[in-house]
Amino acid sequence: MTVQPIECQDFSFMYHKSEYLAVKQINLSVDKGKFYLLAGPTGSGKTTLIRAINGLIPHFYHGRFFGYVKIEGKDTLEMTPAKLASSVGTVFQNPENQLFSMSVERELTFSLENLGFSREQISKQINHAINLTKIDSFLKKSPYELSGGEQQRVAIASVLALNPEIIILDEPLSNLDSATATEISQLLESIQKHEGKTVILSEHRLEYLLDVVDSIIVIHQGKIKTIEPPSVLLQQDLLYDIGIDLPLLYQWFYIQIRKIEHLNENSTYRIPCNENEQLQWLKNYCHSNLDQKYLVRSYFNSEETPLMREENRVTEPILTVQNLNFSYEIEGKKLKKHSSHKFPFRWISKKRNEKMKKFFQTLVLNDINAQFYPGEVVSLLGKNGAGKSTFVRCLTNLLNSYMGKVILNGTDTQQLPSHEITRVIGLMFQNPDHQLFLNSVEAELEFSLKNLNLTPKEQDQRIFQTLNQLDIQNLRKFPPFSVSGGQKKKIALATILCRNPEILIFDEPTIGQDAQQKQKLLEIIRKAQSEQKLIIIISHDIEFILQVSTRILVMDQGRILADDKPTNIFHDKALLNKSNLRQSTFMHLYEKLRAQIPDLPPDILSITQLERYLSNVTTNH
Amino acid sequence: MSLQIIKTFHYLKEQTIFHRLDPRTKGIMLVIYATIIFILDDLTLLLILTGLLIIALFLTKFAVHIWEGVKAMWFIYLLIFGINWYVTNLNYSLILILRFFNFMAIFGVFFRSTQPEDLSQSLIQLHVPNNFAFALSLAFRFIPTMAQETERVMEAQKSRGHQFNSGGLFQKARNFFPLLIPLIMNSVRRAFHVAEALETRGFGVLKRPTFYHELKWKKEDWIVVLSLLLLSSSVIALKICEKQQILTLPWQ
Repeated sequence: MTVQPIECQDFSFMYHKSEYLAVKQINLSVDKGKFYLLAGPTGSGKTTLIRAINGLIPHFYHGRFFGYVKIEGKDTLEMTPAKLASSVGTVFQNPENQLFSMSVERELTFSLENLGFSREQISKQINHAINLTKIDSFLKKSPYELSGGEQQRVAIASVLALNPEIIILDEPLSNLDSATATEISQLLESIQKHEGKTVILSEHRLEYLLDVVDSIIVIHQGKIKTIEPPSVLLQQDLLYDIGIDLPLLYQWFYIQIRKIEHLNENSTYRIPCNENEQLQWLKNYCHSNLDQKYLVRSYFNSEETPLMREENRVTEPILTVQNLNFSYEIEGKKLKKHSSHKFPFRWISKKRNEKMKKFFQTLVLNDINAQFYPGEVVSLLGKNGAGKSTFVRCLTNLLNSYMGKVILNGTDTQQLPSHEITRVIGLMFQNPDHQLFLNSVEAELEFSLKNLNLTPKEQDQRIFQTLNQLDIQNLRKFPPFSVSGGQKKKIALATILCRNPEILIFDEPTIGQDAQQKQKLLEIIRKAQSEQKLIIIISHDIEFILQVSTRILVMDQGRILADDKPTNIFHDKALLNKSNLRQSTFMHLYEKLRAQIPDLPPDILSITQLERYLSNVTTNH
Repeated sequence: MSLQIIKTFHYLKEQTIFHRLDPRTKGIMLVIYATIIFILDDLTLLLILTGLLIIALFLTKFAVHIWEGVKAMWFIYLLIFGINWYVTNLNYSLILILRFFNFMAIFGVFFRSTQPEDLSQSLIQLHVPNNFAFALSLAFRFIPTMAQETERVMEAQKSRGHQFNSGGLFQKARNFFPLLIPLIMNSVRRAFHVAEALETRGFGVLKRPTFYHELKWKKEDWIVVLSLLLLSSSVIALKICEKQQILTLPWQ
């Protein structure tokens, strides 16, 4: 009989100084050469299970350990993580923290050197890993010079170098854009298929993985609920109930089908999982709701986003960007001085020209022009490293050595002191740990409000309102460090929202958020929009963006490639390819649907829009 | 600011003569040169040596970076110069300044031209325990990450309306708490993550790991070491002659 790669029996674990079990009675037996997805909401015990498999529990994290975990037949209690390294390779959430070397090549040799392999063996093994992951083009670079996707590849390669039987990854896709995430999941699939490795991946964004994995292990509140293939699991209530971030389309199908089942109790329906079934379903749905006579030609002209319409637009832009150029290497101010003077001497102008040339070579932002109006929700899309973050930092004057102009409410921001700018613009960063530092949520908000010259009563009211809006009134006296990741993000959001700025900028607001938290965020954005605020969002989460955006800017290599309505952007295939964007599954389906029902308007981008469109058509009638 | 100093001592990917030297050679160079600087207490000789060093810096493209570092530390230079002039005399304070500059330059060249891993590898080969040697190269690896994080935290606090540069001296110092606390907490958190990853990559299984990259002692290394030995022995000889009053330098 062959040995199971991973076998857990009645495994429970309680962290040192903790009062409850992080995982309870895990019974798990993993088959060799399969691709598993470990799914569960945040705080459900995914990370604990991963730590148990790679031996960090009980050797690095101490606590009370029940039952046993066996890796290839060896009990982890008797094996240190280092000894397990040649059986289990672990890729952690943040690639930056697991790349220790100054060059990619040394990163690959690291674990082999540690385990005392000979030079010939090392050379053989790393070459194999390099070929699998296709990282040969940046072998000599430093890990911190690489993009997120490349770093993830290097992390996977460095683990593969030891040729372990099991590869286990903790949320590897959460920071990647959609095309890169697809690439990485395909890479993992090929490793599993062609090398026969057992792959276990924990993630709560299931979008890219449903087609790739063999089985999903659902873990909830420290317990394994079930282990089934995706096709089986999608038919059951479980995934939808525990708040896993499924593609919107599935969530919608689920609701529809349960509705129908509720009406005629005796029949059961399957949730359509492949394209043909889904298409058929949508077709029926459209036909049952559609009245041929009362068709509105365009979704967007019909309703929902009146602010999009030209005549409703507030005429004065709140924020204008003119000829914005930025480089991290050369200060724009110096250059501006250079270029504004007219030197009669030739050698000076030659030197100036050289400086100009160098400046343009290192540009992160290249001649950006844009106008933003109150009441808009503008999304910035583009590859990792396209200059989106740099752009918003220039808008808020956090980076101020640019060339060009940013005009806020009619005043050049270069002329304004920084606290005047932050009064108007609130910038929300990705990582809440970068700003929370006081010992209660209340104190955090007070800190944010201290420069606004509010009376104590006003201040108290602001805090109350903000906490209420975010549903965290109960955390008011809590220290922010003791709460969960999702709550922490809410607190960080509160520290900006309470300042009530006219412009809100979100940098990757949906990373690590589950379905419920995303819904809350949508509400906040919609409310701000109704208050005539300008909202700018940087995100890779296309489904999320499509639910709120009135306009999309696509950036690539420091330029704005397109500035248009979402519909136009997502119908421009050349543009999408160029900027690593993908059409969502729904958009694919919808194109095929329109081929069959040509009367549907061309500009619908998500299932919710279709639903609303159809209900409008029928009620107008 | 402080970030400029990091640049002066951080590894630079280039191909200069110094980059090609074996790290052990550079280590020897560092020790010998530092000793010479300490022994010399004659302003003219020091000036000549400094001149030679500056020429070498220009030839190897390090001059700009070292100069940036000097500019960033102007306050410390001023302090050394001022205090010593006050306490002793101009001559001595100039000597001290030159020594300080030479130290900075030679350490700058060393760290800018030596890959931290090469450094730790040669330390391990010199029987320094693996843990210490690796900690050194790890520290260098995380300098850019930490610098980036510092920037992030400052940006995040600024966008909450925090002003780092307001108020008097005492208030200014207090203004840095919102920067320091998140930084420290994040470093601790990061340390845990790094330790986890190290554990699973087999770190520390062997007392002395094997090395894929070989450190080779080349012809250039011999030349550099020999010429440095020559230089140092002539300086020492000069010192002895001076002490015995066999020889007086022409300018004395």
